[in-house]
Amino acid sequence: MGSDHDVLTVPEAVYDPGRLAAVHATGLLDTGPEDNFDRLASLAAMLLDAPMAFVTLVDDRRSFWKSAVGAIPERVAQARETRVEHSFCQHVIESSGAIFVQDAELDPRTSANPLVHALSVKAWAGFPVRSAAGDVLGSFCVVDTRPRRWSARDIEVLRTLSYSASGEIALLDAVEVAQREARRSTALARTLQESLLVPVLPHVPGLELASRYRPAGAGGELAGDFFDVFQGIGDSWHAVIGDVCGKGVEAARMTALARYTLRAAAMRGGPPSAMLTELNDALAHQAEGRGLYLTALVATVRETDDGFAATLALAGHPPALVRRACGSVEEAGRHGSLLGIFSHVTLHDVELLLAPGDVLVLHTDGLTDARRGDERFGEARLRGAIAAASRPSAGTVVAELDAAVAGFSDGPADDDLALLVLRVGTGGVPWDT
Amino acid sequence: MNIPDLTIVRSEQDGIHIVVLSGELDLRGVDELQAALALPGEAARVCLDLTELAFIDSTGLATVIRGQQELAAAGGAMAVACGSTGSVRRTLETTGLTRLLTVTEDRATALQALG
Repeated sequence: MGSDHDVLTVPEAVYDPGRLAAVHATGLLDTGPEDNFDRLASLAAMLLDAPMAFVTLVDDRRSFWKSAVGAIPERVAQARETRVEHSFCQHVIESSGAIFVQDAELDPRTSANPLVHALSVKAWAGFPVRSAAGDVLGSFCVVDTRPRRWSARDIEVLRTLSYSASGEIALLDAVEVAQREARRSTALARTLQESLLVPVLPHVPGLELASRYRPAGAGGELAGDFFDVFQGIGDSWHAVIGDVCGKGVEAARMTALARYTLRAAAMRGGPPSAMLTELNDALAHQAEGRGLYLTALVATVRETDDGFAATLALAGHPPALVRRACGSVEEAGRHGSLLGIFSHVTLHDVELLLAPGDVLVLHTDGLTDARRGDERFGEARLRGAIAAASRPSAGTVVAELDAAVAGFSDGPADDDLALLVLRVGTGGVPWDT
Repeated sequence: MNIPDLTIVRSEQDGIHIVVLSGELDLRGVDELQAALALPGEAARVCLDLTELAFIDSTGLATVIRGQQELAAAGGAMAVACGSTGSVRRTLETTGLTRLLTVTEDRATALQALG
């Protein structure tokens, strides 16, 4: 890196041939605005309370605005691009990481940049938008017209949404590839599905986590079950499970949007019902008139002196099941509306205490709908299998439930199945109660 | 394997179109149901009787919702009868649809709601 931060000196990384090829391969340069990117940019502007947000793709001469939302001054709004040497994105490409500018007039990287005046850019925050192979294609960024210090929450929200923007590009790319080479689409679907699921559950202090995902029998189509576990504000953690009704790329896109919107919404600190309401707002536009919807369950847990305090809301999703340390099994959650269809949803937060040794089981209906002839696995068998688990560890409950469903079914599964199990540690030797 | 199919029976009473489903409604039956719901015309009043239906999955549910929305958008209406117990009633309750759609226990009440 040179010490001279003249804005006319464009970093070499911008001209990397591999990167430029990846930018062109997106096929997005000089294309019009699209809902999926505008939605993410709008969400960023809203959540960060920033007047402008952009999704950009940078080639060798300009930063093209795939999405530009907010109060963009009219004289630059038409062009939908800036010269690369004036772009803030060049610094994102150079660093291959996020860039935060608190006061553009004082920051040596930007003080001489004419955009600081043309667009009234006083503060800037951007994360890279990457290709599936990891090349930096451009940036996902927000602009403020006043100097500001970007908070940890701002940064986390922006990071999360930038991943979603990268995911959108990977999906578009995947559609192309799938159309070109139909025979490879099964493998592609699996790869995409894996990228949508959580590959490794995080370590949550005081909790044991286990999960299982099994795609529907055919396996060639993108399916819509998902789950996620992530840290919220402070010492709270969120466990999410959901089911998008539908198959294919549309459903996969909805799944990605759901995961990232819930992660972003969690940073607002509201209860699960508020997170799900925010997701409904984000989905309302995308799903309109297509009959696409999703069901989801969000459980927020926080460690207390007596175990974990949980707050749980259902949006069209089957209730959670709690296996108490004594072995009894009870339902948790109150029925609420499914998401993505109706502008108004009714959701309820239910609070419960999970004591040491208690097990919380979240599942999708692929489990209860598993079929043998005209019989279904159903809720009674589900409760029975949870109660009958040979050891109350999360891993055992997941493995034995999965085996019970597989043993019951007499054919390939019609639907995906997802299971997410949390167990409150007993503080002693693991899994011994 | 003995997988029950979907059976659709259509009739009309006092200008209300009655669509009765029995068996199981899943991906295999959604095209047929979609056609049956579209048949009466856009602004029709449709009574969808699910009291004899043993099972509905998410794709079936999506077809019912879409049918209802298309009818409502064109000035028509749909009421759904689904019994007071059973798998279909439970699914409509779990998804919150008993409050978002016009859902009744029996066909007579559904017809009244449309009348």
